[in-house]
Amino acid sequence: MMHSLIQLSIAVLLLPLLSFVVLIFFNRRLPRGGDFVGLGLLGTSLAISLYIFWNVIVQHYDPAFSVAWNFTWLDFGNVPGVGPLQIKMGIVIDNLTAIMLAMVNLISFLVHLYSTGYMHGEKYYGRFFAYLGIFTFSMFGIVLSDNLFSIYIFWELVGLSSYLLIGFYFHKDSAADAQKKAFLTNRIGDIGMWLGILILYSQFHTFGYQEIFDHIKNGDFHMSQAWLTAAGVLLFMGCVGKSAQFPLHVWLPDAMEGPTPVSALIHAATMVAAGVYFVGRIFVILTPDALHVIAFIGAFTAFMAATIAITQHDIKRVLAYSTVSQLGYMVLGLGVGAYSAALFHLLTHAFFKACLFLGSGAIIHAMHHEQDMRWMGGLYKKMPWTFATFMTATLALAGLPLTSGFLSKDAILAGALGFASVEGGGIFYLIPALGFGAAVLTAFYMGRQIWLVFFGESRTHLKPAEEHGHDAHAAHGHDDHHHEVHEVAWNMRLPLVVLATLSVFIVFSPDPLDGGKGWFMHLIQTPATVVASTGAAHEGAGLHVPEAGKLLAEAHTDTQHVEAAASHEAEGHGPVFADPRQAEIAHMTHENHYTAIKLSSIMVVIGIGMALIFYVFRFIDPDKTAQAIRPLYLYSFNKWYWDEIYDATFIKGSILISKILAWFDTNIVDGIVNGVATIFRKFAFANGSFDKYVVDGLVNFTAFTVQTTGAVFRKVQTGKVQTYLVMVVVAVLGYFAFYLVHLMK
Amino acid sequence: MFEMPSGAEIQSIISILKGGAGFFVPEIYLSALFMVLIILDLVTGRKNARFLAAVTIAGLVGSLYYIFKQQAMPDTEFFFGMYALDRFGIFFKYFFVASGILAVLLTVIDDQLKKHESGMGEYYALLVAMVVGMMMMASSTDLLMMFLAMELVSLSAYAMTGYLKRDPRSSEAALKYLVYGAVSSGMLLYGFSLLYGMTAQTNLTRIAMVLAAHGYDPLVMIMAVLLIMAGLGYKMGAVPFHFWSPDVYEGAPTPVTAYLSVGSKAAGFAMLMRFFFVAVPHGMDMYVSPLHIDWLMILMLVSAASMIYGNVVAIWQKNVKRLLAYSSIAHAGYLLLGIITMDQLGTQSVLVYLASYLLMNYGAFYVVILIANRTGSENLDDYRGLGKKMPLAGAALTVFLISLVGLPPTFGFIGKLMIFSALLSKGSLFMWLALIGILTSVISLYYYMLIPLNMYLRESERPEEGVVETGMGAKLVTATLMILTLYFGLFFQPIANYAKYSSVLFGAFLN
Repeated sequence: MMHSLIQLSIAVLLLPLLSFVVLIFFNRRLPRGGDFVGLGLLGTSLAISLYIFWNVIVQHYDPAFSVAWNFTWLDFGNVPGVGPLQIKMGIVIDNLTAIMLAMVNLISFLVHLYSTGYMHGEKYYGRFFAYLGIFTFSMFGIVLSDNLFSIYIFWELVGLSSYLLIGFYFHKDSAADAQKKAFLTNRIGDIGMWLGILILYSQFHTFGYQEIFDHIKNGDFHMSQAWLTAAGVLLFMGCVGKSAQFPLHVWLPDAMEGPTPVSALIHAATMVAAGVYFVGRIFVILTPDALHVIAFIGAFTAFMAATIAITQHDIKRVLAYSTVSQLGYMVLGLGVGAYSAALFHLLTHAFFKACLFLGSGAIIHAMHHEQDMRWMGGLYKKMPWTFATFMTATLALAGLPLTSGFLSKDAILAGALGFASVEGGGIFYLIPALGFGAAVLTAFYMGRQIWLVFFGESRTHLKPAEEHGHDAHAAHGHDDHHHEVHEVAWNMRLPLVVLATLSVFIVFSPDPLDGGKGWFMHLIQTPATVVASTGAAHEGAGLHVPEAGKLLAEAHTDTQHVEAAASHEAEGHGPVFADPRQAEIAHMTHENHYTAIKLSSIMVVIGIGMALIFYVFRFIDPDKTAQAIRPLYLYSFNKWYWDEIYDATFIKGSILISKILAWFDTNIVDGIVNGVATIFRKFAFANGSFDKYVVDGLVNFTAFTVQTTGAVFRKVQTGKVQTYLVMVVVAVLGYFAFYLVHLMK
Repeated sequence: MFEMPSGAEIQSIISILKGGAGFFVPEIYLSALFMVLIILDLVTGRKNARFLAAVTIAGLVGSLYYIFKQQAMPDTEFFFGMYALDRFGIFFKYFFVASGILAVLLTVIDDQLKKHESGMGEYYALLVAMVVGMMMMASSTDLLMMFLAMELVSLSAYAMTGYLKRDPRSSEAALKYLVYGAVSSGMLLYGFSLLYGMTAQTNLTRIAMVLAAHGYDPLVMIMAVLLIMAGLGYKMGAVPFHFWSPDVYEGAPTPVTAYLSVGSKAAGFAMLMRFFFVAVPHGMDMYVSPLHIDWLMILMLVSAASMIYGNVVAIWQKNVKRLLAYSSIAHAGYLLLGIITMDQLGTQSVLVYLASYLLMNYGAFYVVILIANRTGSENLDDYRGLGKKMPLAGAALTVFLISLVGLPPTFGFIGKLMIFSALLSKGSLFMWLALIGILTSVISLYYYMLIPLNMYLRESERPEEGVVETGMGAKLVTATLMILTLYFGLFFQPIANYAKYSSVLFGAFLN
């Protein structure tokens, strides 16, 4: 018997698919392009998702809550060389699923609603909603999957819908290029992920999360620990691609070519978070080594993207790099073992970043497709609602107290500090350092953005004429006056207000300074790792085994620590871990909580202060500064030259290799083939002569014989029934005579 | 002398008849259908062809239910040992009902019969009567019953052949058929009487027992077998008893041609198998006799002659109906190969081959009718360019012809494959027959492929005609037959298994 929640979640999963099917086929026949179909179905599924959320989170309020259901999808029987091969599909609903489901569905619904305004008058208006439907379906699939196989399917489906939506304005070259880039870059990550899945499958012959976890826990992994690390890192590659982590982050900023609601839904709030969600799902099988890789990549991405964001002019690009940076935070959080903090940040970020993107969309819409912040300014009076909501979300992103972002970012930074102190090595302090550095930069670039967009004088008239002309065609069939800026309509304003409201601390925690007291941190607790810890420490930690071992031993003998851990548990901050490393990190994180608050508050103040100095009070002229440190400025403005580096190495390299291969093909392979062909042609000629005169002669003779025989036999069929009867009698008598002779002998 | 039976004896006879009737339901049901059709024709007036066709199809489909119910019954002989109920018979009952249904489907689209002025009532009634007759041919275990059944089929067939009263070719064919059939029946009856004279029995099993117990004169035996073979060979259309078939096939309305070439031919084979496997001593272990190989020799000669003659003469045919008539003679030769092996594998392969023949031959005739409706002739030359004008029909006809040649991936390939493998499993004894079979198959490739050649590679004389519509129903039937021919070419296991299950005859001693 299926659990009722499972049944409901299947409905949630299928409703957006239904929306897709209806809209992709009938959008032209339906009034208003069928947007009400998408809205209605998504609204229905939102209601169900919220019910699931209410049931799981509010009613049960149990960290261990989980219901699962699966069925055998394909049964290949006993495959030779592989063994029994079964592929199961299933759904698991736990606290994380319920939260993600509600979050994705809510944002998807709000984006549907928002799009009815933003996309109004587009040529492919109905198709847009169809794409949103299939995206939402795929995203639900990722969230609900209970195994690696089905998550991979939905993972690819999400990639496909992202491709379709980035290239929604496919007639624009830049959009078509961006969609290709996104697709190919993601493919690299996905191949890694698939290899990781195969490593695990080859060991356990199952794709189910829980079964894999159990196998590893029971020590059924027969290869060396390094393979488990490899599997973890490979699986993480899927996240690197989808969540735009260095070195595969290059697609996400270009993906801003898609319509802004898409950027909000897919490239800020949900799809890019899928990578983080996936790493969260497989968190327990990651070895310490794999976690170190993840932590460093996350920290580097967070910092690098933030440095790029400070010099960009395009309002969406700033937000895109900010997204990359924030995703880096989440990945960093997972890497350092701050599991719940990372996922908490995923949730809070989804709301405030969606709010920012939709706000930027409102601005772009109001400014008639102007995206360059240099030509904006002074909008706060004209668009008060947008300003208020954008401001709230900005504060959350910067991580100011009283916002949701503060709670989650602090938790991650505290985790990073705790991790660094446990790992002990100086190099590990780089991780929190980069994290705090990124925090300064975040505050700075968001301050810059707010000022450039909303304050000062309107600079629309400063825009050079040729750029104007270039942008004019982008205005799609609006008949209102070009230079009038108005607040957007209710259907675009409502989503902003909802999302801004969800960026306030009280939604998540009663204490504005400690997310740990909130419901999220209670329900989503770091799961105990299934990787054998001592083995992992010995094999994995490599060089610093002695120190780590000593430290762990101390941690255990030190009664103070044990008491601290116990009180920590009593406060409801999480479980006591069987794994000493995890326990130590959890403990040190707790210890470092207030340090992190203090530090990050200082960082935010510094960042905002810098923004004020540069842009509000203009103590220092930003343009002159840029000139003064021109190489650094250009380095940031040109995004660390990643695109150029990739172009020079991978792309030029592939082209070079293909040219070499083409040369080899033309000159060597074709030469051999042609040589052989000449020999065969000579042989065939000889063969042909034989065929013509000898074989054909025999064939013609045979055919002649057969035809002649037929012609003779044919004469027997005279058409006279008397003759026939005579012949039958003759035949019978002939047979009889034959036997008579036979018997006589 | 003949004595009046007493009251008690009459009572017991009636109770035996009553008991047997329970095993005779499909035949009774179809006889009722026969009468219903005649009455309906009288009641409903002239323009009732479609209605009667629908009733016939519904009635035939309904009979499947009663046949299906018989599957649960045990093998038994009833009506004083005149009639048997066994798996073998049930297979053929299904076969003949399917054959009847397809014949109706062919009739419905045929323009010639559509224009027939005096209605279609008797036609459908005769068709149903023939189904009953063929069922009885497959299940009779008594010489008298066999003869009666065969006459029922023949008489219906004569009438159906001549159904186009105003068409001289149709009438001529009917008359030839009648005369030829009468002589053949006479020879069959002569053979039966010799057998009865030797054994004083009419039941096949009893005949076998008496022959085994008392011995027999080989000369009389061979004469009897030869004469019976002549009678059965006429039904099967095997050389040298085939002479009627080209003329009749060409002259008869095309649906009747198809019906005769599949239904009555299969009935002949069913009867041949039951008769020879049960009645005639074939000496494998129980009945060691110097003659056992000799009657096999008859079958072998008939088979070889049919394969060679049918295929070689077909090369010369310019009329597609006549071409198919000769090809059906050749197919009789291939079917005989399966009987010659005298084992279960051979019987199974004959049943599978018949099933494939049902699909592909009806399919081919179906398309021939569609084309004749359009062009008014069955001449090979008029097929030029039809592949473009009738894409579905052209493709389907090509598939049926490929199947008739016996090339993969069609059902016909499976049939031929099973026949030849049954033959070769007997070692080198029948090698020469297998060789003839394969070589003549190559010849058949030539004349069958003449038709697609004309359809696709030669230009039509009237290229200005566009795509010709054949109607939704016709398309559906064509496509279904084509898909089934291909489907069973790939997934033949269920049919092969059912044929294997059905290859057990009641009272036969197959090893």
